[in-house]
Amino acid sequence: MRRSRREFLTDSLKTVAAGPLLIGASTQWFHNAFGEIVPTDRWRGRVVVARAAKGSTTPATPGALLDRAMARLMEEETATAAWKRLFRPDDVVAIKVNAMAGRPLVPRYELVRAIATRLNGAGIPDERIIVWDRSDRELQRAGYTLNTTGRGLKIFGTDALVDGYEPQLSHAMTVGSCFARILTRHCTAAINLGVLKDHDLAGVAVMLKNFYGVIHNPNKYHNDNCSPSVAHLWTHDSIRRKVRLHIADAHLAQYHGGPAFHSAYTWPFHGLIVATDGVAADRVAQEIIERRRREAGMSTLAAEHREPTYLAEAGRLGLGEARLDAIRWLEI
Amino acid sequence: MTRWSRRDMAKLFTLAACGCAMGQDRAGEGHPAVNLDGLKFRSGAVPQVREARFWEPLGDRKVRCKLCPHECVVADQERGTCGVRENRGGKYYTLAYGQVCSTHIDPIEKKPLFHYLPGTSALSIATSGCNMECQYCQNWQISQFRPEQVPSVDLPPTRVAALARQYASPTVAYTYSEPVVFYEYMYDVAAEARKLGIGSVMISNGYIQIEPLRKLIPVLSAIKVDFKGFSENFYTKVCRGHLKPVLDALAAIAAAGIWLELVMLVIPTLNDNLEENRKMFRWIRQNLGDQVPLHLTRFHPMYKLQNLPPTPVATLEKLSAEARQVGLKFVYVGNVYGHPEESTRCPSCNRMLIQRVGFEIVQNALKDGRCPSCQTRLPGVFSR
Repeated sequence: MRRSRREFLTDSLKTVAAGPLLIGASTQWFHNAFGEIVPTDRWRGRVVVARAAKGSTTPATPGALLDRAMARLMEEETATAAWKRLFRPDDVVAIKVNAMAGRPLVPRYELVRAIATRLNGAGIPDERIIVWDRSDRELQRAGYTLNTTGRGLKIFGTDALVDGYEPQLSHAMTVGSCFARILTRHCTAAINLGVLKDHDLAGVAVMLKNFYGVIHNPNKYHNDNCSPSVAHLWTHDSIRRKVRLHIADAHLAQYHGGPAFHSAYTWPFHGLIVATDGVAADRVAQEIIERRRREAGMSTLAAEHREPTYLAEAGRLGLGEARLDAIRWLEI
Repeated sequence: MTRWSRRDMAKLFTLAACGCAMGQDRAGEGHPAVNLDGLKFRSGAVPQVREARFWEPLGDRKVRCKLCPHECVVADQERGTCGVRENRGGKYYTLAYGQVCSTHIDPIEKKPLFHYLPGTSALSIATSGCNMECQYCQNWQISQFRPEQVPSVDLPPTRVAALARQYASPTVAYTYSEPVVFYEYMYDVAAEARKLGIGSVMISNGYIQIEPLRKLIPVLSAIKVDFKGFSENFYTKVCRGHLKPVLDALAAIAAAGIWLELVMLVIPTLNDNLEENRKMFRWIRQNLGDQVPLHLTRFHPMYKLQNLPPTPVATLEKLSAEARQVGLKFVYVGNVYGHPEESTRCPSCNRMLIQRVGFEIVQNALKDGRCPSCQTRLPGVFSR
């Protein structure tokens, strides 16, 4: 059918008007070191669980495990190429650690250093890497040495800054909070660095729950086992757009009594969980914890009314893959 | 292979150009010129902690807080819903003690307390934290934050009492945020102030357990409670609390005989229902008496409740008339500057006793707390 010039112009104008809406509704993306435009869910549903080789008398260094995990996750020949798939040399990277439990149930500094070294390899110097949690006190309890100088890795809590939080509320569905400026303003990319542990309300506090530490009022969102609040928090634009990688330090893991360290419920896992999909990583982490609980003769998280139901909600919201049977769980 | 017409190509390019333009904007968001040299770091001491009162150990290093009706069960290293009480290794601590984030000399009418030393000032202090989260909170920048998140100064109780005397304030007011959450500090300040002949008033949501409340009352001179509404649904959905514990606390305050005034912030469509408020007025009359002043105040959009208009003055006047109809003797309209119902009239002869404009006393005709015309005694506290 042949259309008139008028109809053609009308259609074209409609297209111009609708274009931004279509693009805006699509997934988030970022530019990597290769100049590629990468959708943030490109590796959706892939989770690598890297552990020290069986029978090995010396546990693998965090860096060696991390290199294996990253190469496998990104399907790259080298770990360096994998890091460049996610970051670019002009990035400022904020590493949000979960220091709350105190030693030894915190991301080890050796792992933090290993991550920083890999970022260095992707062209990002230490001076443009911030290692942070909500307070200086928690970081110090975790064994980190604070550093607010202009040299080396910057390590400090949100509370160390004069204006640590945004002065205005922003909303992420049912969550209304002031967000840490380290996330909203002072970085271009973020890494979520948690630990593999149980949480007495949320079920697990591994990946998504760690970001309760970026809002000023987490205590207002612990009712109903933190659900759906944890999922809703992750719809916030700064989180979705900037968090590119999730890593759980599972050298030591805890299957009960969290979120604080409780030695009676820990076991040596000697591994890392690595994913770009935090929902899938949490679902895998939950399964690992559930299995360990069964081995210890304990009931399921669901039986204790603290199953992390926010994961299913996160899946429904398109934040990641929450169905265990749809997750590519890669053991290496 | 499909052959594309010039027209289709033009359309495709239009879409692509549009997408690129949008994409540039979004990429730009992620890559601003971040300058980390400009970070400004705080200096100052880390807030000191004190062991909290009213809690019990639960085993496994958990504790149950028994200060407010939430009865938070708090795991090690976690905080209660107030954000200022923290479990450290199975022991419960307050992080708010002495950490004052707001200090002002206010007219007592601002609290509002209309029948308590009218025309005097109150040294008003607050720490951060609250055990509720009212969606319309006007002080959310302190009430919804943690002690380490807001600038504060360390003011020991003796220092607060001395400041009140220095500024000739007969009263210390615990206000702005929620004083229940800094109970230990409030208690100690009130005790110190009392030694200097200075009274203490708690401006509260009334969300407190009966035992701590009873222990607190002897060191206080008056209490003002924000009565949020008369429905459990409103307390739950809008304030993150429950109605019943507030009713219990109000009854306990009335039974203790300490001076009490009530405030209700009337919010269009949420708690302005006439029938519901009539029930509230009746409950007040039956359980607290007809002498307790009730301030019906005007809502303004704030915090998370920005989608509603300010309360029409006519709504406040209608509720005020209803409250009087039910039998309450002292009903005031608040947050409406210059409204005639800001003033106090004699309940017997209707003579103007205390004429107010805003927080200012224009005229105070009381003689020894009595109406000079008919000698009716006005309920309240009118001398130190």
